[in-house]
Amino acid sequence: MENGPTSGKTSILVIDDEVQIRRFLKISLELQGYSIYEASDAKEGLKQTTMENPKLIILDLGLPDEDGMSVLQSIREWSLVPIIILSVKNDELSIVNALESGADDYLTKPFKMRELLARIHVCLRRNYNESQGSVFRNGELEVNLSNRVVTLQNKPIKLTATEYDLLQAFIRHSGKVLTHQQLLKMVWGAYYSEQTESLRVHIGHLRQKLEKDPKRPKLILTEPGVGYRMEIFT
Amino acid sequence: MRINIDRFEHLRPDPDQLLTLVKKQEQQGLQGKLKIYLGMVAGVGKTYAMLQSAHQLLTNKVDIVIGYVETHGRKDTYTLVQNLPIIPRKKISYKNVMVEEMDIDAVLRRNPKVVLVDELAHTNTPGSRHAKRYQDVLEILENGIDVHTTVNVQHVESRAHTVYEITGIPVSETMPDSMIDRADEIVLIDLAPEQVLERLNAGKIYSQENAAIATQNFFRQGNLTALRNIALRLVSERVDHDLQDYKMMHGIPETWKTRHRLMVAVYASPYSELLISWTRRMAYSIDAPWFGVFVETDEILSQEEQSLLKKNLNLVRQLGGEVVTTKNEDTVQGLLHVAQQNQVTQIVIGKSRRSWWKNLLQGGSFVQRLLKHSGDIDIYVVGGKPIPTQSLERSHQQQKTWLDFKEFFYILSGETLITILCLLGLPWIGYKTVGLFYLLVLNFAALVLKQSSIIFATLLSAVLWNFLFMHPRFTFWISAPDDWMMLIMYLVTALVVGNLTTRLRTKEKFLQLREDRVTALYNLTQKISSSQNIHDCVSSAIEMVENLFHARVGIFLKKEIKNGTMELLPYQAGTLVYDEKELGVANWVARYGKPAGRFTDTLSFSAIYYIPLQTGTKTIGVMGIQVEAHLQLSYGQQLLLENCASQLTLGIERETLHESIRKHQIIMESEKIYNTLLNCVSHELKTPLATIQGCATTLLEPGTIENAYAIRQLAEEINTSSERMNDLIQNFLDMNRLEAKKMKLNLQPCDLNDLFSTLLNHIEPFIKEHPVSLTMQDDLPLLNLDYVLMEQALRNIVHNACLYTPVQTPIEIHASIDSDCIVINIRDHGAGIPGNSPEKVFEKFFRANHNIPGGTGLGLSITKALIELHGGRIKVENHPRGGTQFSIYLHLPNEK
Repeated sequence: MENGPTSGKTSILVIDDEVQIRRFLKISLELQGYSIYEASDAKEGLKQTTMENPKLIILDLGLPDEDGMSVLQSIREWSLVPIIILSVKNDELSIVNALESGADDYLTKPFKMRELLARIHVCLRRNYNESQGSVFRNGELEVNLSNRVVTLQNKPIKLTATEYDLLQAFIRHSGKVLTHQQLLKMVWGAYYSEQTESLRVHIGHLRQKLEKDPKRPKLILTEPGVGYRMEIFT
Repeated sequence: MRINIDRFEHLRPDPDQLLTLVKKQEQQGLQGKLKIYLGMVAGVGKTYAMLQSAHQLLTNKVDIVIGYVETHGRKDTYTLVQNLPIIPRKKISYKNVMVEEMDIDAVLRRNPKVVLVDELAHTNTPGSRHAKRYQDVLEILENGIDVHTTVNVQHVESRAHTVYEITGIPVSETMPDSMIDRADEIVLIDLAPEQVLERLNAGKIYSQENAAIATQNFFRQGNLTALRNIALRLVSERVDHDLQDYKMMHGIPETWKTRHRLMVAVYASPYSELLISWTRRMAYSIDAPWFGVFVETDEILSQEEQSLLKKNLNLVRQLGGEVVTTKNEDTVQGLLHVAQQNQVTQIVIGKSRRSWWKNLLQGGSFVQRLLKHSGDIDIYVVGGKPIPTQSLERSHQQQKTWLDFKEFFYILSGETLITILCLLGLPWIGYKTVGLFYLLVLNFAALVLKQSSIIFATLLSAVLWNFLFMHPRFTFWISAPDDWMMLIMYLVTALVVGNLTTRLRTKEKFLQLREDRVTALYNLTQKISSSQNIHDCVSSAIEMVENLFHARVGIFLKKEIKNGTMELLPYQAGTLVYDEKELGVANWVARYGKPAGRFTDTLSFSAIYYIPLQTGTKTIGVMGIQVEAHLQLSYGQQLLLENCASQLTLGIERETLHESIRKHQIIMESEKIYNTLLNCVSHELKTPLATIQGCATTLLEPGTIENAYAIRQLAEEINTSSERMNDLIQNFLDMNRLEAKKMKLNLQPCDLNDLFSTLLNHIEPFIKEHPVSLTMQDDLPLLNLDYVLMEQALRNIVHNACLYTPVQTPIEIHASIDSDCIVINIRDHGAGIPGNSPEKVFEKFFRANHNIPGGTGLGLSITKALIELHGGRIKVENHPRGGTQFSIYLHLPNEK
């Protein structure tokens, strides 16, 4: 705690058992103007979360004393602080589990710092601008959320009700990965959680209408084995 | 609504029945089809009809051959045979006569679509594969070849007796009714009796003079009409069954049938055969399942009776019945017990031929008692005469046993001796006492000799006593009335005592035999269940059976050879003498799952009796048993042998399962290691890699370049992580080289003090947190070591101690000489190694505490391997006063 965060900066808590990872994250993120708290195990992590009230948490799934998943779940019981999962496990199941238990995003080790920074930006911005204006802009896409008008390069695009609902779900969580299950529940309701096939079909339709090259999507990206994400263009 | 359902239920066919029907059809789908041309008598034109239809098939390009057709010198038939392909017959020499039989192997090799086989009920010449031709046909069918065949109705087992009763001529060659059931198609060749006679007289059936004899005996108009009746009825019964089957398969409701179950009592008597075929006829006509039950009582069966019993029980099986044997002192109770267990509705028994006094003793005749206790089971009492040929055979055999010269000789010599002694001692003992002496001899004789011999001995002694001792001596006349009385009393007493003693003895022998059987089986079961592998299982079974039957025993087991085919290999042939031919028989048994060889109808030329080792429907091997040529196997022995075989099969099956479980466990174990390795590699490699990439990409971020302090820090992180990765990879390589035994030591004299100081320098960052005390004996000699590797080995231990113990706890290193070794003790003051076996730390990928980040669990296993490579040894223990202590023993260099 000798390197405690200075006031005024956005604080990030890193919960990871590997001292090397913590050290380089601290150096790298401090360079970006964040202040860093460190925790090497679950117990310490939970303690820091309550005491320091960080604006964002980077959580490793493999912790010595407890599973990262249970840390995630206990934080989610009382806090909506954005959590980014950092994991060497690249089995999709644990990632999907984490996302569905309330994690905001994930990265698998090894990763590029730029990606981590982008995720951090998205999570923090969403958190601040949850109730942004009724018009959503992302690159050439413009969506008027109050009258449900979608334009691309200023040309109106006709979307079906389902396609619009899907787009809306992406906008509400723009930049964040959404699992298949989460999307299905948001658009079709709780009882349709099995029909990933129809989800794929509608994503396809949406890409046909919104992407320049639907075969190489740039806006709605596939996260293999996990779900989809809408890329944010600045 | 409910009523409707009930009615529907009622109409639905019995699922079991339907299943048997479907099975029957399935089986027939795989096997060849059997077509039988049935005639009432020879000469109605069965063979002719068969050949004609064969020609029809031949013109339709069906691959059809003649396996065996007898023309009986009939011209028309001969012409038809000419144009069909024929498989050459096999020539077998029997009692110096060459006999021709169908060559079944040639047929199977030729593998045609259809084969023609005349005279289904034919008995093969001894030395053929099967005793009967119908068995050949069954084997051909089993190989998927269709068979067209002919048979006369009198040869059908269940009709043979009726034919005998009508014509008075015993039928010698019979074939089981199951063949009729098995047939897919039956063609009745019907001819009016007048036409048959016409043909006979025209010489179309036999030659003229033979025809004349035939007309007088078999071919009488009355006989022919009766035979025609039997044939028509047989076919109509069969057609009736076909119709029922069809109805059931197609869900056509039929009138409700009561479920009959028939049971027939089987005895060791020729009369029993009659009852069995009667029951089978009855069962078939009412479409009911049936059993043949033999109740084993205390009564001892002679060798002949046993073979007769075996034959009768086989007959039950052949006719499609189920054999049940049970043990009970009382036949009536035994029968009723089985009947109740199997829900029998009708019991078939024969008219009792037991003597009235036996009936009196048991409280009523057999039939009376059965009637009294049978409750609502129907009893059929069937009369009739047995077919004479067999009873003749039997009485002949019985006579043979009456004449036992050996025993007569013993009696003669024994009684002569006692007579001489009595004659010498007569003045002192008196002639009345002589009788008691004779009685004594008889008593002893009864302990060892047969009952018939005892009767002879009794009579002989009575005559001797009378003639030589009673007044007037040397005449058969007896003057005193009390002497008469005495002689009669003597006779009665001697006979009763002799009879009782022999009976007691045989009963004891029987009980002993039964006891032996049970004990043997028990022992075998115990041995097999305690054996550890298939080899032990088989060995103990062989040993047991060899001792039990005084025979040579061998086990053959099926083994999978390349490309999935199974081959029968002698597993433990033991003392069995066998050749190619015997192996062929064993293969046959393994293939068809039926016993063969000696004592059977199949391949009976073999000197060995083979029984299949069967689990469910699969045959896993064969047991061969070779008893001495003059010995026979009794029914009981055969049962015992079968039991032994099934016990062995169970044992083998159990062991096979065990083995596959063991294999599976090994696979699981290696999978576990593989997974651990994978996890370890992915975690341990990716963590430093993530650091390196993270640092590098941070360096690439704009803005970083201005911060020199951050750049330096990031570069340091990259360096540390690279070192960590390098260590890990080095560990893996070392482990690999150690395991492949490719590590070469570069031995040179080393100073331990030097070695430890290098070591401590290497791990400086860690020992900052742990005070290390190093105590060395002063006069330590130089050791021949690989400096680099030994340093690595010891460093792993010290490094681990730093990692796994709380900060600021000391680590003690101590080296001293102990006889011919240098002992290095490295002790920490941590919590010790959890669990009871600290030696586990040397296992690959073992990690005592997964909470400590980093580490693969390889370090200490490498240390151990390295120290052992140096010829030393290492042990680990939890120190009684806390902490873990590693002790390394290294040999001192040889003083020269």
